[in-house]
Amino acid sequence: MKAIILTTLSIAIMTTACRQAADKTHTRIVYDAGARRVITHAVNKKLETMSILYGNASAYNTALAGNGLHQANELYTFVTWRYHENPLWYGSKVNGELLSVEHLRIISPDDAPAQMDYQVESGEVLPVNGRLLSREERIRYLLEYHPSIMP
Amino acid sequence: MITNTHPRKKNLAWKLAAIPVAALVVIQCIQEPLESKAVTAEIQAPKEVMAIFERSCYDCHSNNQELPWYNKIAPVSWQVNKDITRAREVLNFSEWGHLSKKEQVGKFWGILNMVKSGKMPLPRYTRVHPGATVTPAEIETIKGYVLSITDRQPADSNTIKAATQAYDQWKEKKTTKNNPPVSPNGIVYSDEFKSWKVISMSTLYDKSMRVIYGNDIAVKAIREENFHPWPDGAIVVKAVWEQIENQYGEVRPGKFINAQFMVKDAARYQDTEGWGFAKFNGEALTPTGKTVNFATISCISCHRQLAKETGFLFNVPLKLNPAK
Repeated sequence: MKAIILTTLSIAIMTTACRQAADKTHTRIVYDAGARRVITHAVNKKLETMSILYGNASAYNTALAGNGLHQANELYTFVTWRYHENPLWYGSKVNGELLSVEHLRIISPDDAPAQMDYQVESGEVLPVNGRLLSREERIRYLLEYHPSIMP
Repeated sequence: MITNTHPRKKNLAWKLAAIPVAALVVIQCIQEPLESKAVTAEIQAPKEVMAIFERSCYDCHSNNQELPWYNKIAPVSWQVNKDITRAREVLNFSEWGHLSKKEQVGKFWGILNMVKSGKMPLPRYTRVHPGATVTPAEIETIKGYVLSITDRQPADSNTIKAATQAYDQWKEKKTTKNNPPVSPNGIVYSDEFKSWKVISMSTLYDKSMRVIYGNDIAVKAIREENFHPWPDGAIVVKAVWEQIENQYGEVRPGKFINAQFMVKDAARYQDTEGWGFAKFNGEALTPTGKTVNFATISCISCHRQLAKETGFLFNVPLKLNPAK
């Protein structure tokens, strides 16, 4: 009987300790996009990802105009997350792991071709429609987004 | 063995025993009977689903109670009547038909989440009424029905066309908000959240998609896991859109549905766990609710039961990133 009690107690202590350790090894991330505001976001159900496109004021205005006429120093940031079933509400998905951060800066839009700086700050960029895009294709893809309706 | 009890002591014992009995009789006079309400619009659902609801939920969530006699005796009846009155406010199967179809589907998802998480029927109820326990197989029955009545198909061509029109009109519109909308509980709509950090994104039932913003106090609380309780002054705003698929197979925001505010002020919102709720609908940002305490019926019941671990918020980002 004593052995059973001791074993049970040991398992309980170890389980609690492991849980606490797990809590310490993971964290929640709130991405800091600085002064850039949300232009729009997208959900890819095949890849189970959620992405959000931020931009500075000139980037937002160009995305809204939708005419492809860019200005120097437009700044875009594209952040992609893995999503999961929301443990608090069945039927809802919510973002979890931060997968990648991409930055795009328009340098001189009037040059032919336009000068742009595209960088992957962290992570690996995922495919679009099952295909990894080239740098130029990826830039076009990012610049195709238009803002979400926001009254 | 023969014991000799002094007559005066015996008398005292009887008197002492009589006090609780007398008290029990007296308190029967000070109880308010449960309000009798008519069955005006009974829920319609497949018989296997109805059988679960009638057995496990109807004693509280209907106007058709079949309570055992001891539930009518004070002080038990005080708690029972309070529970039933509260339960009817949140969900009443006898008045179900007065809800819109959209509200009914929303309530069904609430029911599914409540039974799936074991929060309903209330454990203190099933301890006394073990027959009311909902089994895993019955949860699957409810789930199957809820999924069958939920429109989870991708947006059709009409929805996409309507979203495109809405976007074109919004783009051209120059709105000025001289008189910002105000929720019945006093929460004023403000554009400020658009410059706050995004705390999370979410989808719901494959039909809507959300971006959730937090002010600096809310962001700090998430980073520090300071949820119990959240600090006063924290504000979280959830912007909600319909889902529209684009040429890349991605889901993108279509028509704007609403902006939902949660404002933490422990002293002001005592009935809703310190959170003030507000919802501003459509591009006109029309406030939800007719009374000051609308959130005690429509919002807090699910937040309170299901999101306690995150301080009553559903969309805190998941704790899945390796700590540095």
